[in-house]
Amino acid sequence: MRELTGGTEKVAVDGDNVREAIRALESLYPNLAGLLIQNDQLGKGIAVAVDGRIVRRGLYEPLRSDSEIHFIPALGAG
Amino acid sequence: MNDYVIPEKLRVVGTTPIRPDGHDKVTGRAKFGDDFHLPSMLHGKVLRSPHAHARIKSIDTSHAEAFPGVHAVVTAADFPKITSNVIDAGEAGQIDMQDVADNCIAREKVFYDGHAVAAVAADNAHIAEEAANLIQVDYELLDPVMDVRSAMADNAPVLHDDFLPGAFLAPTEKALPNASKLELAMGDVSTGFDEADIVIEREFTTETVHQGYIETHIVTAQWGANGMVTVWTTTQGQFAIRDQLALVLELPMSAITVIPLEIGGGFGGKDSIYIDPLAVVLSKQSGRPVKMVMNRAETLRATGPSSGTYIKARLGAKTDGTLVAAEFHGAYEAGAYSGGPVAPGVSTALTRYNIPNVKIEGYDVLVNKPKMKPYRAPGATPSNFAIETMIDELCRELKLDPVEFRLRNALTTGDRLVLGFPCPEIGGVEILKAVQNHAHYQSDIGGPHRGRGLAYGFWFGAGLPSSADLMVNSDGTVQLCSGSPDMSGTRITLAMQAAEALGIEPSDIFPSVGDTTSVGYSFQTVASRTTFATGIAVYQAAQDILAQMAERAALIWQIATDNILIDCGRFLNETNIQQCFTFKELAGKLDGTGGPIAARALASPEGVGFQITAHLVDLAVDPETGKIDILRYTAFQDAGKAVHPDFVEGQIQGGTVQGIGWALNEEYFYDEAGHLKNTSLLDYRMPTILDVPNIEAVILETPNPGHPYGVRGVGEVPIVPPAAAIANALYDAAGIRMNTLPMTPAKILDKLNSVTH
Repeated sequence: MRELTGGTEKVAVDGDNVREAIRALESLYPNLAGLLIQNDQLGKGIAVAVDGRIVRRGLYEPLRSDSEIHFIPALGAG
Repeated sequence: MNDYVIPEKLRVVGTTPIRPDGHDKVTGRAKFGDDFHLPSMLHGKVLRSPHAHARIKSIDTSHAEAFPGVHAVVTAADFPKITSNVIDAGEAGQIDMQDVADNCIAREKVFYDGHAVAAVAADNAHIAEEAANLIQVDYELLDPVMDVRSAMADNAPVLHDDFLPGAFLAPTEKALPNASKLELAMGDVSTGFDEADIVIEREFTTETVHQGYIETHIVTAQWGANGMVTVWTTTQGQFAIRDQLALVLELPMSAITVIPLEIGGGFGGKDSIYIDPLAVVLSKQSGRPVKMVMNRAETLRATGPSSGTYIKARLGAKTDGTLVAAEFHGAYEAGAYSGGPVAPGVSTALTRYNIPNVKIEGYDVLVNKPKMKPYRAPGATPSNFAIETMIDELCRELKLDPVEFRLRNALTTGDRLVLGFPCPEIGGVEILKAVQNHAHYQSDIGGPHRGRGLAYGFWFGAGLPSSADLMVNSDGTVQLCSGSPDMSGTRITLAMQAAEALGIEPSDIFPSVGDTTSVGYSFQTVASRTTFATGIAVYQAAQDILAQMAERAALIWQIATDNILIDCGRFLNETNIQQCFTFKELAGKLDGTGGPIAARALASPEGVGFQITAHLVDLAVDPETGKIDILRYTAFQDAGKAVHPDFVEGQIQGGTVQGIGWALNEEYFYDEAGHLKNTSLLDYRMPTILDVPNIEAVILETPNPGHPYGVRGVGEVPIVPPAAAIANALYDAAGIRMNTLPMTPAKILDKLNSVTH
């Protein structure tokens, strides 16, 4: 992911939910949003953690003004 | 999402009542897959590919169709080409349903020895098998590729021309012809290794292993005259089977009822369809119910094993034992279709240590083996084997105590994970201190050729959707129905949570597992999630029941509901302390106050408590044969709160034994043409009770604030550290470092001889 952000690890953007935050990233890193959102849902193999919890509402997870978002591999289990 | 306030004292949770399904299981009355029969039922058998990689040029079923006693024959041509092929599996990611369908019955190519090509339904299984063998398949043989490094090499045979990588944030072009790639990083490894006083780099290989459930895959399907389909099957998730059947057969989900029977083991391998759609279509064509039973050879050849791997890792530490940098490269077999356990495997490789500079690469590699399926903490055992043996090596190089070394580097609450976010409450330090203070760690190992090894392990676990129904009967008993198949005593652990919440005895709760028409949607019993996530659904339904019952008490006493105090199964009138109903008394008054009470809750909890464990093992190695005997084994694990400590102990012991098998014996043997050679449990050698000592389970409890009673999942992490712990003990005993699994007597003897000579 750092390759797509030119090495930047942390980015601050505005958004009321994860989808809006990704859209805000689009203007900064045009290639990133297309990978994070595919077919109107999180991209294949991707999960999202908001404020330390892997969340179920994905793109629609609400954000606070100080929320921290991490895009991580979907983990699965047995 | 808010954290729960966990009660300091619990009345039911933490006790050990008898499980309600126990008697039927030990007396043979419980209904497993093969116990199920229907009138006029046919029996199905599958024709499987004898080749590991081939193009299907033609299939002639005419002789089979003409065989006396045969009622239906199906090939891939009888199944729809799927139009909507990707489904969301929550935290598990997304599943390509065309791959799932093609894995059930090969469409244009066969991708592994044992891949289903056609199926027959006949009056009995013998006729079906004989007729299946009359089906003529013309194959164009292709070169197989059987291990990850060969599959990633230049000019490797390509399995899927149209393969699109399922990589995490990979560009849309292929990473390699047969592989997807994911990367994780934090800090700067280059700087980190520059700061290190000692750096070691090692390579490891592990072989393909099977989940080894004793009951094979068994299904009975009936296509009704009205087009409604009923399926009785042994599964970890009735809703998953229903949804997958609906998608591969292009049927409405509501047209399919899946009834889960008891399950004789799954461990991750019974979370998806194999013979199920074949039985359904055979039933449709024959007009009769069809039962299909996979034998052991079919199960080993064609159902989900877990990945063989190639791992290369590098660790850097200061002389005081502080880890400063780590690189991890893990290539995991995906099998015939992409989507193996690479993500959890590499994500857990280092997660239990607080290392500032980390770089991780994972590859999901297509090979001509069955589609890899989850197996108890999928992917974590090989990566733990690599890292924990390297940690042991660092401890010896730096002359540091292995517990002290791990304590110095242990991940603690709030530390950043390699996934980026801060670690939730975790009791790793407590686990390591428990090891340090345990009599086993302080005891003398005694005797020649004996050694002691330690390994430390981690697993994430998951939440995901669960449902639960509660209904109060007029005698005060309560029916509990969940959508979670019971693999490990979860009927009673759910009943105990209901009893705790309702303030009644667990013997007054009657738990059951519902079919897909009788209970709300639930994700599979996987990911150590049922006691945690379905437990939360039960808790929420119980709160609803209590609220409804409080309304009834208020109605009877003609007071406001706010004046009802609920205290441990009693409903009290705050305005008149003389007035009180027990749960049973109030249940008896429901009929006259508005009728029975029921509640349903659907929960999808996010407050997952991570699993952390340490395993300590003593062993003896015979220098003449290379055989290892496990002498003493202690497993320390944080359960958050052990709802039923006996079953937590059982999970720890079961997972440990599977890990011992992975460490010492279990592996798939393929010949050069890709034929699986050990297709029985005689040749696929799992540990028996004679191979392992009593495994002492030490249960610690660092509560998970994401659960009302502090529960964490416990089922998966016990399989993670055994291989590394045994390898470290072997080094202690004999001075040899094993970098391959399984550590068979032959390999150990070779290594001993190479050191001696």
